[in-house]
Amino acid sequence: MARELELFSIHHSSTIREAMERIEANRHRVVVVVDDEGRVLGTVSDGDVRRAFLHDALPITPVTRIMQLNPRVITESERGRGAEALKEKHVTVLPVVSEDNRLVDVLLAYEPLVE
Amino acid sequence: MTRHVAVVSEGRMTYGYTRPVMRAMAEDSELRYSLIVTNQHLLPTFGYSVDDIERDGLNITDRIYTTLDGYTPATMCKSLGVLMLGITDAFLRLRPEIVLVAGDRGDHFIAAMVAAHMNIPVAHIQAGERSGNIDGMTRHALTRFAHLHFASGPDAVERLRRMGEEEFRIHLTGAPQLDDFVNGDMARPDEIAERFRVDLTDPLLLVVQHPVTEEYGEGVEQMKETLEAVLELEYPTVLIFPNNDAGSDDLRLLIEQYHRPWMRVERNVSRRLYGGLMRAASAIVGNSSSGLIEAPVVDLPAVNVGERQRDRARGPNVIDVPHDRARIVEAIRTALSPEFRARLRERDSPYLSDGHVSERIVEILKRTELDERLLKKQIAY
Repeated sequence: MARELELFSIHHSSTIREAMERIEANRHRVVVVVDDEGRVLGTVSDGDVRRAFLHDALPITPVTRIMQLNPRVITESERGRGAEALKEKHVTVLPVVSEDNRLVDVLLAYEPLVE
Repeated sequence: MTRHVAVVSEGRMTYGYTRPVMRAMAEDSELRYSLIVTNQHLLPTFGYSVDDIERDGLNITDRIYTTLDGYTPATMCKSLGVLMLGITDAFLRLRPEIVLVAGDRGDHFIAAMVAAHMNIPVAHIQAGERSGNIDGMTRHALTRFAHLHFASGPDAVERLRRMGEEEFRIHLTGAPQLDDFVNGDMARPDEIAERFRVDLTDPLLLVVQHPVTEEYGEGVEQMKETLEAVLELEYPTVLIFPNNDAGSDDLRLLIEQYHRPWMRVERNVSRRLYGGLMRAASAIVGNSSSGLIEAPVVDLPAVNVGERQRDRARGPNVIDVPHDRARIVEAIRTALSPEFRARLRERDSPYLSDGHVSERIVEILKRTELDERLLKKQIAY
């Protein structure tokens, strides 16, 4: 495993506040939402959180309510073309999944701007 | 003087009915509307469809938050109670001369009941139609509180007569939700391909399946049959989240678990995208009324699963199947066959559509005398 996956993923029972904390910690603007088995359910970005707050959502709102349901992912077998995929899919974080959709890694488009 | 109509909208289901009517009112100097938005429109789970209303350029006057979490029969009822309190105050403040409601959802029934008690005439779109389950009961109960009935077809007119509704209240207008479709106000196939990342050279399935209130607790097993059929066929699929009726929370979790990379799952899509999806799709699968009402306009085959649409009139585009994965697969294959699709062009849908329905409704809202005769209903048996 290339990275600390817990920085980039969050359980589906988490709140918006917890997603914000995770995004703040990973500094990549996105966190991947997973179920008990680690299957990818969606992603939550800074922008998703902003949109929710503009609709007066509370920090305790579940992340599943606001997550993007069709995240762009690549499978392990496609990993070789990861850099290319990051570019053409226009994402900052690209989840790498197993054949049964479990999160095994994330690819990052940028290094964090702030240390 | 301009006549003031208050319109109630709870979610995408009936927004399609009232949207073209509001647009027509906006262009008419003799009418003005207020729009009261409630329930699903305001919720993140359903993609904040209130944003679609704003993008459509319609003016929202009231936002009434009602919905209790849990999505059980009990929370559904309590949520309706919250609406009853909120909408009473909205009507007091707005002082509309007519309240316009649509369809067979509980929110509209509550709005009609409150308006009737406050001596505000109620006009009802999609009146007299047959639909099953709690929705059917709601629609016909609403009829008793409505002063003007807009029927989508002759069978609905006849049903309203037999219910004892007076002749002058019943108007055969057609179904306004078809106006946009007939007038071609829907996303182009290339927009659909890009927005949903689907390849339209393959057959596209559109899946919309809601829980059925009377079958509370069975929704997950029912949905599993449909999802298994979809997984077996592995055609590009766009699935839209169910409404928030009792049991819908479990369905959403199940859908997330069945989600595959070649499937697109959407909380909500705008009316224009939905029309585009229907036009681009090869079949619609599930239990949405749009498979019966809107689909014939774009010659779209519908695989209608289970009992939700049991009593509703249907045309030859509909294949009825039980909650059984093998039967659903077989029906989808039939629906995708060129022979089936070719047959669709020959026969008619029971729903009227000439693209001018909302204009007719606006005309009636303008011309009807708002007097004692309208307000005092004689329920003749």
